[in-house]
Amino acid sequence: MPAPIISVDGLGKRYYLQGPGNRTIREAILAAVKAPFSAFGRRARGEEFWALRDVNFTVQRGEAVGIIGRNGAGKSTLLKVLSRIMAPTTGEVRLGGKVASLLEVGTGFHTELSGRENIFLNGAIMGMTRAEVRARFDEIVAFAEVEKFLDTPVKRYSSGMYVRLAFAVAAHLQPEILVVDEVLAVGDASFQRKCLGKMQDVASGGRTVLFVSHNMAAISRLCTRGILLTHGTVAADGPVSQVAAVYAGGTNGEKPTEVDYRVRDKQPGTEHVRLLAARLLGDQVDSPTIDIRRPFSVQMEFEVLSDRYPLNPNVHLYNEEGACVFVNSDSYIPEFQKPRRPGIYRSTVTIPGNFMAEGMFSVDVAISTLDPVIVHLWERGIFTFRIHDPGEGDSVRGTYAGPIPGSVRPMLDWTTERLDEGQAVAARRS
Amino acid sequence: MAEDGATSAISGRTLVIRPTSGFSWQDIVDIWRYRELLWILGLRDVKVRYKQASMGVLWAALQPLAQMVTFTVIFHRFAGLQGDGSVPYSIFCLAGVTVWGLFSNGLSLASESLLNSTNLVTKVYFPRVIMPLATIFTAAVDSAIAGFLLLIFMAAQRVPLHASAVLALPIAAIGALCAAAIGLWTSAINLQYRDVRHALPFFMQLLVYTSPVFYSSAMVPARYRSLLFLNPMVAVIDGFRGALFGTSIPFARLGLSLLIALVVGSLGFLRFRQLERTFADRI
Repeated sequence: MPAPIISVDGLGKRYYLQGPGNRTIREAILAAVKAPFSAFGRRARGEEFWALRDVNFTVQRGEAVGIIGRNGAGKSTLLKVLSRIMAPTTGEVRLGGKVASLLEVGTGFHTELSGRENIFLNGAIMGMTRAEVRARFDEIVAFAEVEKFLDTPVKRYSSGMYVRLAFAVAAHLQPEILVVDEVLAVGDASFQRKCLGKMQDVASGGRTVLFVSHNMAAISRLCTRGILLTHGTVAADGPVSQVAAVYAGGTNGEKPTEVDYRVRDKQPGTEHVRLLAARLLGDQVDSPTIDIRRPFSVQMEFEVLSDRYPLNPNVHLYNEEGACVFVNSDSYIPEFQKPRRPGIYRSTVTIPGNFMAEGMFSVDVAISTLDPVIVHLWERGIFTFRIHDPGEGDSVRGTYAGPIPGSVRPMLDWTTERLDEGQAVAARRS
Repeated sequence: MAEDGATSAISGRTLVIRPTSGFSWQDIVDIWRYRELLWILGLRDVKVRYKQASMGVLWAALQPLAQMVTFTVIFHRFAGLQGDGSVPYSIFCLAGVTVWGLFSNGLSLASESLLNSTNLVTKVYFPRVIMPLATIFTAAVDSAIAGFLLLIFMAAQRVPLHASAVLALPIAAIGALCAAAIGLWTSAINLQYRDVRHALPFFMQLLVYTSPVFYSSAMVPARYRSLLFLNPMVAVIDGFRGALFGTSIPFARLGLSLLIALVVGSLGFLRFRQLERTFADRI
């Protein structure tokens, strides 16, 4: 195996909650008076906090790696250490090539200066010589689509132009390692697509991309491998779909599509009902990836123990931002509005194809009584799956490849009439 | 990983990031690689300063001019202070203000350089040393404008320009070096102790009186003079005037100033490199 281009070994980064900065001379003198021998050296510091702890991984040349994690998981700290902005507290990093990092949009831009001046300034900040910037100047300008505004101060730029220019400079540096943090969230959809395309070029050109984003769809599209950080440590490292599933579920997903409670010591529930099993059913049962065009089902097996209350199984779906996409139950069916006879039941709810949006989703199952409200059981995040659009033209996205906003993406009826000829020319879906 | 041929071939370009590292040649290589940034950052500050202000470049001329007029009226007219007698007092004073401005503006800008660019320090890597150094460049542009003004005044007052005037530039450069040397310390310390921000203007105010900006160091009683000469800017100001006006240039004292600047600067550089690794944490 060739030498990795990035190797991270036992990396740790410690902060003190009352940081070492901002100390006044007065405090320093007071400290020196109180403890004359430690003088200006060590002092009582605030509570310590490890933003990264014992992080180990290697990245091979040409890999595109998505760094995944919730806020505060240490993603930004990791990128800052890799970009040499911060020194680590423990461990070491070996980098086999030039790094260009885009941690924030327009870092080093000066708003009073023109686009042209800022390209050279930003290039120099990233370690390019003027000759190198000049050689790629036209390419950068064309990519950023700011030809007409080259001599306008960037303070007059729209936020979209600003982002485009910033990304263009970083992406055209031709670094061996490109580090990109969350910046794509700022631009418009077509530009995001363009950026992803450019990063894909960088990666397929044998260079290495480290990409942090909350946009799991973007990460899945660009990266082959994911590294999940949780509380500053690597919680998962592997193929991006697997890691993304772990991230969304927060579990280590033993078997991702079935939970059998019968084999467990205790089944969730009350004296009225208990859960026996839950399943996620789709075309591809073994992998929690579902074709956006295909229906899938959530199935619950439960044992009703008493006929005291009406019982309604229900399913909750959450998207990767944690927003609830929907909650659904069988409580609209008259016979389930009454208590049911004790016995073993299996309920299956089917979510139609061409209904969900793309992305990662997390499933809760519950059994409740609605009047009075009693939650007999509520299993949170038992399944995590990804809705995937292979983009074959027959989904809602048609031939469009860019991001589409929205929590759901139902295929709705469209009718179009030709008014001057008085007949329908195209109608809805089949 | 075995240390085979391929690995060692790559290891020539491998960068190792470790918790603490002393001085390494990599640092020097880095600074060299980023040398153009020095110009570009310096140029940026110059451009920005004059773009934002509607009077633009006039400000750079107005500052030394106003100082010259004030000093001439108060110290010369009212208090009867004399220069060294070789040139009119106003010219004598403007020469002092020009080279002093290089030092004091350079030092002030350098001290604030890191604090004023926190977004850069926390978001992108480059050798931070470039920031305080680039501000010296900015101060030099201002002083060049003041110097141009000085030449105009000299011509207007028919003060002859001596051949030794070419030495004024390297002598001024020693002044810039002094500013850079101290600026390396103050800029880094400023991140930790914001007191520097308050202490420095006060310190500069005291220093302007202990430097021969509006008086001649020849006026200082001999027994205090050696004390005065500890201030490296004294020789720079004396030398700058001597070179321009064709009077004596204190080469020995200039050598000492250069030495002081180099020693303070080298130590400052090492200390700066040491503190640099924690800059992003401190902001």
